[in-house]
Amino acid sequence: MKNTIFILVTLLFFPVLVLGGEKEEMYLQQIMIPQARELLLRIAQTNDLPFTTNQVQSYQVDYYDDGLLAKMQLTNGWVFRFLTDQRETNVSALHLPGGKEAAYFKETMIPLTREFLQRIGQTNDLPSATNQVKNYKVDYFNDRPGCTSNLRLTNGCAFGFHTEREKTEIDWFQRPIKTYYSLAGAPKAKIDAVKALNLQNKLNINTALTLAKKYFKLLGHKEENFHPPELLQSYWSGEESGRLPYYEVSWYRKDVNMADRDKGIPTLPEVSMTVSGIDSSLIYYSRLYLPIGSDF
Amino acid sequence: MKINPKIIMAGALVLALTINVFAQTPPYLAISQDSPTTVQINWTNQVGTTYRVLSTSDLTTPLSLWTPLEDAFSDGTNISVGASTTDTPIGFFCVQIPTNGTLPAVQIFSPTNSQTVSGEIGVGVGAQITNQLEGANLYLDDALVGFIDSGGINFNLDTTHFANGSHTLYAGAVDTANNETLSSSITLDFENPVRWLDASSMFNSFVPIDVTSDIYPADWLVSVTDTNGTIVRTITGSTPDGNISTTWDGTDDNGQPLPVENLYQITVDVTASGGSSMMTASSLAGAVGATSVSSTLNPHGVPEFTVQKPAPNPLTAYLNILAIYQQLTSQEKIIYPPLPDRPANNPYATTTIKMSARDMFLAFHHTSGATVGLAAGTATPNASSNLASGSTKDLVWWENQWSSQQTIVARVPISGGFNNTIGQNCNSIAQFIGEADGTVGNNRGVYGGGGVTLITTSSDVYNLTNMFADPNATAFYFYGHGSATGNSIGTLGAVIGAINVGIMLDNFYLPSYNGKPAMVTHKPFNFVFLDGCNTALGMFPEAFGIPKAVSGATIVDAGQLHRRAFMGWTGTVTFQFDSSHIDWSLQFWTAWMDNGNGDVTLARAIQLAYQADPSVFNNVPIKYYGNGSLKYSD
Repeated sequence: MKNTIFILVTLLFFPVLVLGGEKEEMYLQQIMIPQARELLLRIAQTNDLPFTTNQVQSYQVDYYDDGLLAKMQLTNGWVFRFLTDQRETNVSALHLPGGKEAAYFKETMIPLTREFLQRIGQTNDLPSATNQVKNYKVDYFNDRPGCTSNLRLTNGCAFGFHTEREKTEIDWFQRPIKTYYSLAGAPKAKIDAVKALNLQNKLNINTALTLAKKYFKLLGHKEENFHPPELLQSYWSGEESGRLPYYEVSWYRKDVNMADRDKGIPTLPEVSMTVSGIDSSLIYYSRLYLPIGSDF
Repeated sequence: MKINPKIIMAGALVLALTINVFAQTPPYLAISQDSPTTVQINWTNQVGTTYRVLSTSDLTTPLSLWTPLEDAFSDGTNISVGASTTDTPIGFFCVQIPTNGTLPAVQIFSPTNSQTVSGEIGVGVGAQITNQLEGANLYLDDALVGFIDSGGINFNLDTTHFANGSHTLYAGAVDTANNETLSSSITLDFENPVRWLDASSMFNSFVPIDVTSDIYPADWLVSVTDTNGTIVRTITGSTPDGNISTTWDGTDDNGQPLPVENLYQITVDVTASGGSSMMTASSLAGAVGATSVSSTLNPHGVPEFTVQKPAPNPLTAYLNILAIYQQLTSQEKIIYPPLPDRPANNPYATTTIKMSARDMFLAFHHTSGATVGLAAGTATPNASSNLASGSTKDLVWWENQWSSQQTIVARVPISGGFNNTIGQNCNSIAQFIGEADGTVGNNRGVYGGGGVTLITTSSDVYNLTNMFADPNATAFYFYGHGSATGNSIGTLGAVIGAINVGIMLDNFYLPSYNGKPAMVTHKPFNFVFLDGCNTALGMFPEAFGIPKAVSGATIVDAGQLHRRAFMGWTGTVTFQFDSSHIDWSLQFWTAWMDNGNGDVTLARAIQLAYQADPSVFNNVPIKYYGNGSLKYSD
């Protein structure tokens, strides 16, 4: 049985106007504000620490039989979620203030995007203004300073960022090129069109590997730190199957026990990329479970 | 190669495109008019034998002199190949089984070596090899440009999709063991006034149309034709220099989207405009600062220029370098290259360069600012050339960005704490999927109308497993209580068993198939995430047709392999706040759905959820089997 009490806090003439019971205000003061403060301390956002209800824009508490779910927005834009049961309360930050996002976007994401594209030689796509960005999103960690974020340019190129310990890197890049087709039940004309894709392929497994190794080095990796690369030509599937003009290459780090890969363990340090045989370019890159800026 | 006369089957006559058929005793040979310029030749055959089609325009020609057109695969009892009648309105055809020759014999019948070609051409290939023929490849400049594995071995090659000039062409015949035998190569001269390099065959947002024309200034017309032959979109423009760059976004002339999952032909027609595109060589010398200009015409009447221009006095350039060099310190001089030898003084130095018509035009335009209407002169177009107009075309398939499949989202009620949070999380997951369906359509929503299926009774389980069998359902997310072995999941009185799922979907594991372990799948799922205790430990992956990696294992698949992945937990998932498992699944789905783009790989989505809270994996890691490259949009 759900019993919901909605509490609206506005800042008009008074610092905080609470429409709700004492129980909720007590929860705000004794649980929500201290927990939010603790979280912000944890993630090193010390300039934004809330101490009083003056810094609260609004909050809402929903009661359930076995606990409660609450949200609180600070005047500076932070939004927090609180989950409480009989035992404890868990807090997480849902949104960080727009100003912080914007600064991170302009000062970190855009320059790194430019540098990355220059590094891989795709200089026609360099973003120089925010109007070349379709969207971006920043997700702050709740347990430590840092964040993950992503950015998508208007031309469809997408980038993933990882920030931790005051370092940031691009750990994911993808051009809007489909490298897999599922053609079960597809009409013959579509299958022919997909088959025709591979007719534009100017690479073979040897030249594709050479090309991938070039990008591997350009992106700062060292072959001696990894197992030999594995190459797979992309394919399409259906009643029949065939090859596509794209090559997926992956390098597992030297310390990975390759048997673990077959065991389904996902957290193995790995670099993977896809190169296109149509224009010999890098169309996908990801680095998984590697420290920022280095192989080890 | 010698021909065994006993197996010559029949001949058919095309006389002024009136069709007559000879020889009606088995095996039959028949001929029918396919289009105003082509005929279809049909015959019954001996399965597994490669036949050759030959023709002549004069029945009195000795058989040994008939022109071979192409060989044909014989993968069925009825074979049909097409032949052009453009050059031979009167034609006789026969089919033979070439024997007694030296094998292998792979050859290109047409076109012939050193031929100049343009537009679309047919490449007829003979492919006699020792073993059974499986496929034939065509290579242009060592790149694969065609593949045929049925019917006649006659490749259609659009030469307007390649640069003008010399190209090398050869064919390959592939047998069932994947051995390839190559033909000798021939050299062809491609000459097309309008060319579309890197033409696309697929698109899901827009088609780039980047065409080069030797005809300029010119007006261009892009026509998009659907499979009914209706022109559904036209785009017009003009080019001063022969560069045509535009796009088609899949809409009609009214800006309305045309049907996706359809084939469209894009034709680019270019017509000269603004008077002659040629330039008078004598009028160019002053404009481009040349002492003399001469020109010749290429096969299309396009002039190519030889320009002699004044060059800088080499001594002046040397003295400029020397002045800099003398100011350098001795250390700096080490970095610099040594001074070249002092050249002779030559104030009248000249240089000779070759310029294309395009470069000459641009240079002229840049220097003089003149408009494009130029007088014809010594380098006028060849009256018989097709320089005044030209075209190139491309067939493109407009595909939906996402494939069609639905996701079953289900859960059990959780007693005690967190039931509401679990419910909200599942609703959010279903909402993400529903939003994607609203954005991209193509039947990519949540199975059963968009909601979360609540499993509380054995009847609910029965209905759920029936959903599995529906071909539309190819992905499954389930939140429930997993057993210690990982072979069942659900709640008290409502349990889903791995064995039952495997039987329902007819997916099973064979310890030994041809001496190796194997998976047999009939209704494999593309993605399954069982969000409960120990779900990665049992046989659920195999039950859903997503096998764990087993060294040396094979997959016997009713359909070809779709990318697939199974995800589950490797231990008891305790819903303590300090473990954060409660939110992990939501973080994973948030990352994987990628704001509705569905364009993130499974491996990366797991990493993003991991980065958000690494402590989750410290006590109970997740596992996935299958392809980490799987995307939700696949």
